[in-house]
This record gives sequence, structure tokens and C-alpha cells, in this order.
Amino acid sequence: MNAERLKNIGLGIGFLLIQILLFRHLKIYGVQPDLVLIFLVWYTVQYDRTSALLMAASMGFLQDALLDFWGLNMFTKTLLIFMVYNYIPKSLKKRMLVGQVFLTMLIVSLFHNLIFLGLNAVLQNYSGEVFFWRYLLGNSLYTAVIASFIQLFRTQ
Amino acid sequence: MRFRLPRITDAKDHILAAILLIIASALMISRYQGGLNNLRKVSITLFSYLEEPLANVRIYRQALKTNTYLRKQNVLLLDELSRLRAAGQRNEDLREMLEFSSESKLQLYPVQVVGKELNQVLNSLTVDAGTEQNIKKGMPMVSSKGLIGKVILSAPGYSQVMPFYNRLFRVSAKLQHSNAYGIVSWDGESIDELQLTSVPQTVEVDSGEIVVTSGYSNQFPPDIPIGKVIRTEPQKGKVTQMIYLEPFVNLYEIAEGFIVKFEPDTTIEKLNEQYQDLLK
Repeated sequence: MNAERLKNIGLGIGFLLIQILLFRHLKIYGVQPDLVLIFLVWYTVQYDRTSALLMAASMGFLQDALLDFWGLNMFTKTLLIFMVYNYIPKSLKKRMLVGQVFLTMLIVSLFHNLIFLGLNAVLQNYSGEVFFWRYLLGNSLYTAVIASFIQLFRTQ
Repeated sequence: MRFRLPRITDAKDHILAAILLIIASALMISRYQGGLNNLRKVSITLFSYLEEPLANVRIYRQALKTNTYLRKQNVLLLDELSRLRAAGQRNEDLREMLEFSSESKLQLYPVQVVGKELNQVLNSLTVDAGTEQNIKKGMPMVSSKGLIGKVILSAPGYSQVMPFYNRLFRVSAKLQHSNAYGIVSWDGESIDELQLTSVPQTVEVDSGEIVVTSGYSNQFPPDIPIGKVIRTEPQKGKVTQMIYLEPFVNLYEIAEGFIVKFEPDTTIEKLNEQYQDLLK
């Protein structure tokens, strides 16, 4: 395991902790962003599919472990990365526009939350309609906004 | 035509994804079937350690919200308490008045005080009954505790009452025990004392003795309580004494009362006139 990979794992755990400790409490009308998803999309842009899948599963597992979901996020994030990997733009030479980041994150996030909710529906954990729409649209939009902000303030 | 079998390396991501999804599914199933309990305990403990500092911040924020809410509630409750106390006091007063009106043999008309002028010069009260209610000049006003004053002006709907705290007010009164009579008036100096004059010094007067209207003047019905004796002083150079009274009615507190529909007995008035004529 090289230093760069270790750095990325550390970065992922950092994102996860910020998500758990901070963003989980920064709810706006009950919706919250998913910082781990932002990290995973960024990671997907940088690395190959196998690494991205392993990172998605690891981060999902850790997120589940801390939130007592056990398997939900791991399944969702692994499946998401597996399915959207080829569709995420990977032009490393050009910096992406904020609008592109927002749109990409919105679509990815919508897809992620749809899988998450579908899985939940299977597990019959959440059945409220309000929760469904809030989780699907609210969380997706919030995640996309946060990703756009990170893109705005990110240095090369 | 050549047929090429896919190599494992071509499908390694698919296989990896499938394995990871199976692991995730296994975790989900174990979670919902009661497995992973030890792991869950560890994760919950770890999560609690991470959350603890933030929980304090949350508790503080919640405490601030609760504090604001409780302060608002406190103001509302104090307001309600104040209104309930006022309503209780009013209820008590009205009960007393009701009891008084049912027990009294006088013909009473209930009135509310709608105006008070208690500036110590020319004190007066305004009540919400007048000529339309057959209220006439000279009629006494009383409360359940005692005498208040007498009507001096009557208009449709309203009347003006001269209370006992007015220098022009006079009422014929007597001491309840000795039946010695005199005139009750106000000297305009003290706002909690009335003076009973014209009682001979030979009459023994104890403090606490009750003074009531005598009825001799033909202006007020007899036996309306006025006040109780607080002290006496001999009047210099006179055979009478000055008796100081504490009135039963607090003019500053009254909000309602009764007008006694009392009219002077014309027979007595005529006799007085005839007597005055004889003396001429």
C-alpha cells in the first residue's frame, strides 16, 4: 500500500468523520448532504474502477458501522460506483465548471438515494412518503450544492 | 469465425462488485436477523465517544431554546395569574354585594363607578345610573361595607356622587353603643380619617366603636355603617369632643356600589318647616 493510497484512505475517513460529526447536524428542513459520496465521486474521477469500488465499499462499510445501518451504504455506494463509473467525466487536464460538478453530483446523488431508498423499501424500514421525497430530492440537491462549493474553493 | 472467451481480468471489476454486494447483503441480513450484535455494540460505543462533545453543544442550544420558551410561558402565566387574582377579588366583592342586597331592607339599585376624581380638593365619583333609572339628587350611595356618599347631580344615564372625602359632605351619625349623635365630616387633611363632632365630652367613647348613620337628618336612612372610632380628642373651649373615624369603605378601591332609593319623609320635612315658622 503506497503513501498516496494511505493518504486517500485518510482523506476518506476525514470526509466520513466530518459527515458524521458535522453535516449530519446541519440539516436544512430535514435534509442533509452526503460528504462521503462527494469524496467517492472525486476518487472515481482520479482512479481506476477497481480502486473506486474498493474505496466505495470501505467507506460505505465504515459509514454503516458508525450509523448502525450495516450494509445499506456499503451496498448502495458499491452498486452506484459500479454503475456510474463509465459515465463520470474524467478529464483531469481541465478543471470542471461549477455547473458541471453540480449536475454530475445531482444525478449521482439522485441515483444513490434512489438505490438507498429502494433498498430501504425492501427492508421495510422506511415507508413514509414524505421521508421518501425529502431523502430523494432534498438530500440529492443538498449534496450537489456542497460538492459545487468544494469545487469553487478547491485549489489545483 | 473465431470465438474468444472472456478472460477473468476482463471481468474482475464485475466479480469484485458482486463479491462486495454479496458482503453488503450479508451484513444487512445479519443486522436484521440479530447478528453482528457485538460489532454493533463496539460501533455504538465508538459513535457515542465521537458524538459526546457535539451532544453538549446540542444540549446547550436546546437549553437556550427551552429557556426562551419558559420565559415566554412565565410572562403569559404571570399575566394569567394577575387576571385570575383580579377576577377572584372582583368575584368576592360581587358576592359581598349580592349578599348585602339580598339581606338589606333598603331599596337598592346596583351601579358601577365609571369615573373617580379623588384629588383631595373636590372629590367626586361618577356612576352609571341616572334619571332614567330614577336616581335623584340626595340619594345615598353605599357598598356592602358601608356608606360611600350621596348623589349631588343626576343626568340621563349617569350621576355624580359626593363621597365622604369631600369638605362639603355632612351626615348625621351616632355611636352604636351610646346612641350619642353628632355630625360626620372630613377636614380635608387626612385621606384615611373622618371626624365626628358635636358629641359631648361626657359621653365615653372607646376606640373600635362603630359609627352609623342616625337617620335624624331625614337625608340618610338609619344604621348604615360609616366607620369605627380610632381616637378621641377634647375640643378646646367647648363641651364637645372630636372623634376620629376610620371609614369602612376605601374610596380608592371601590368599583361598584348601590344607590339607595331613599327619599326624605315629606311629613317630617313639613313638621320641620312648621317648627321653623313657629320660631320666627
